[in-house]
Amino acid sequence: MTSEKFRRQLRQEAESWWNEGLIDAQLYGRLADRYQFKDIETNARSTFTTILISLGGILVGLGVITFVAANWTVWTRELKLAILLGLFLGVNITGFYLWRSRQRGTRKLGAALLLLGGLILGANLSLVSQMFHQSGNFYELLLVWGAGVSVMALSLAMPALSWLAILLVGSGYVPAITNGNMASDLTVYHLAALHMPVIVLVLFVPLAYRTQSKFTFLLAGLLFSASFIGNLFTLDGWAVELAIALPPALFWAYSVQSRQRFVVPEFQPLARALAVLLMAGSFYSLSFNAWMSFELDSSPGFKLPWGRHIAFDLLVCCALTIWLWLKLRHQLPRFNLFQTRSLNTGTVAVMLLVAGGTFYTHLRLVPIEVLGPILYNVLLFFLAIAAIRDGLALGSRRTFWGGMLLLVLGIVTRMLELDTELLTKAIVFSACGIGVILAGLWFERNIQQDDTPAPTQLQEENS
Amino acid sequence: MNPDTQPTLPATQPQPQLEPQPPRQRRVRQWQFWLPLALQALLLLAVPARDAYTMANGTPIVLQTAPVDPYDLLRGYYQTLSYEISAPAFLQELPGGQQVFAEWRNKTAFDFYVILEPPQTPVAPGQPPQPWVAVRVSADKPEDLRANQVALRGEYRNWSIRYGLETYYMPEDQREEINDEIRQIQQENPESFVVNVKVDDRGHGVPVSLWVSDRNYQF
Repeated sequence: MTSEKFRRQLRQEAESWWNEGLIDAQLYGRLADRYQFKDIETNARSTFTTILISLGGILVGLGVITFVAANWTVWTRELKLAILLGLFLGVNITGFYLWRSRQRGTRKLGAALLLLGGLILGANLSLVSQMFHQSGNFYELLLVWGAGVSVMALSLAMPALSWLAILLVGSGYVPAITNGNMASDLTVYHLAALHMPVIVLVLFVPLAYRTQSKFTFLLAGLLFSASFIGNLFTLDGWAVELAIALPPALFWAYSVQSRQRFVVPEFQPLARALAVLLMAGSFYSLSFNAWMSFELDSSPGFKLPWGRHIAFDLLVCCALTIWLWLKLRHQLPRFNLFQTRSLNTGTVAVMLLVAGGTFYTHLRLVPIEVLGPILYNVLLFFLAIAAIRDGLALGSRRTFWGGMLLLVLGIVTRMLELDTELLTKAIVFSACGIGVILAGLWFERNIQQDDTPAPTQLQEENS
Repeated sequence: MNPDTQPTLPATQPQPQLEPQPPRQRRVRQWQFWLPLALQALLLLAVPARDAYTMANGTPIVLQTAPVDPYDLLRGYYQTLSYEISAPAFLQELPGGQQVFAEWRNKTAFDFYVILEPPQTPVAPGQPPQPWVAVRVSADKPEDLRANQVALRGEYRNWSIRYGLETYYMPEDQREEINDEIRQIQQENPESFVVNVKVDDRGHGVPVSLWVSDRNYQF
């Protein structure tokens, strides 16, 4: 499907071609038919109404929730429950039948009502909980609510409901894991938080597939990484290297799979972006000269009841990652270190191995308080420069500016961090500057050679 | 270099479409809506199920209290209640308390039961009730309760005790007034702030109403 933007541009161009006599009216008509020029305005309007109607649904939902919180005593709780239950069923049922209709406008209204139904479910849950003065935590309510909404989202394949579901579960996850970290016996909610990575894989990723929504996939990816890393951190350093290496490895391996049933091409750029962002995040946060404070306690804190659950998830995620990378194996011979993209499977694999390996060595073999941060800085700057180069080579503005931002952030942070004499700073800056200029020249030479592409020559040049 | 050999490149060539596709009309079956709706309704029943059972079948008891005042985003304003039997020091003085609390002092989490008895002096209807008296503490669920006794299950977690009776939601418009009254009563006559609770035969309690001096609040 061509993008809206492209169609707009094409329409503009085609009109000027027609005016200039490059094409005749018939050809313009055929282009207009093929790219549906007449729908462009309608589509824009209809997107606008969708946003308005959905916003209305969300506001009404918030109104209902606040009404419950106000605990208004003029109506008894029973009456309120009857009204809210009626509203819940009425809104959902009306929404469903409107949504099934073939008319576009009705369909939209139906979708908004179903979204409202998802919000009213939360209002009802809080009302029944309030009726009996339950002292359970707020996050428990969020998790139950999120579970309810996901079932509906999964069954009807509705993007808006799936976003609501992931946002609810995600905002329930953080307090649940924090609270669970202090608890000594695990409730079902703590278990949900501990198994969040697997829950994302078996519930929210399929949800993204069913709804075909990129945003759902992005939210699921974010929740997966956050929960995977968050859960590992509760174990006081047990297998903490995997928090750095595994999520980006998983996303990257997904993003470079060839077309298969479980790979949606639209999701792959997102997975790649997530992988790069995660790498940037971990390289940056470990690039500080503070490695002497990273050390394991003499008794590693593998809390047994917790550890079991987290280790299970770890096993599942590791197996999945390894399986995806093994599927890439037959592609590996076709990789060489210098391709059109600097960020390719080979470099990513090397970066992740170096990152994980360095941290592992520091924590468990020999403390490398000086070498560690230096290696991470090298990784950080390599990632930034590779992104800038890819951005230029592929004309991707986002990649270019992302890399640029990372580079500037890295340099500024190092400048502020290195609390040395100005003279040293001057030398460091000059060295960096000369390095960047040399890198530029080197790339320039390679790009010029790229104009006369000969794969074997490229390989030799850069091996 | 042949672009086909670069698996990292995204599929940049969209397939040309000869016919614009009409919006994809999914054939949604009825059950795809009714089944999740039924599951959501089940959740609505499951969340309060146990409390509803306790409310219907539980034994009413009265507990002595003390409060603060927070806000919950979804459920509104509530009182955080703490009870006489929420203090480990108080429970330790009871028969069995030494054993449960001294032996398990190093554990951060365990459950126990407080056995309560109705007060000796009967109270006239309409008057604030007297709080029940804690008679002993037990590590396991007591089987030998007398007819008028009730066992309330408590949770010891990280050096504090919870009975699941710590929250009482109240209307926004009466919150200030009730809180002022409670503050005043707490200073003058702390004995007369009590909570009516229903307890089922497994020791699970649900707060029913507040008695502040001679006024009964039930929301």
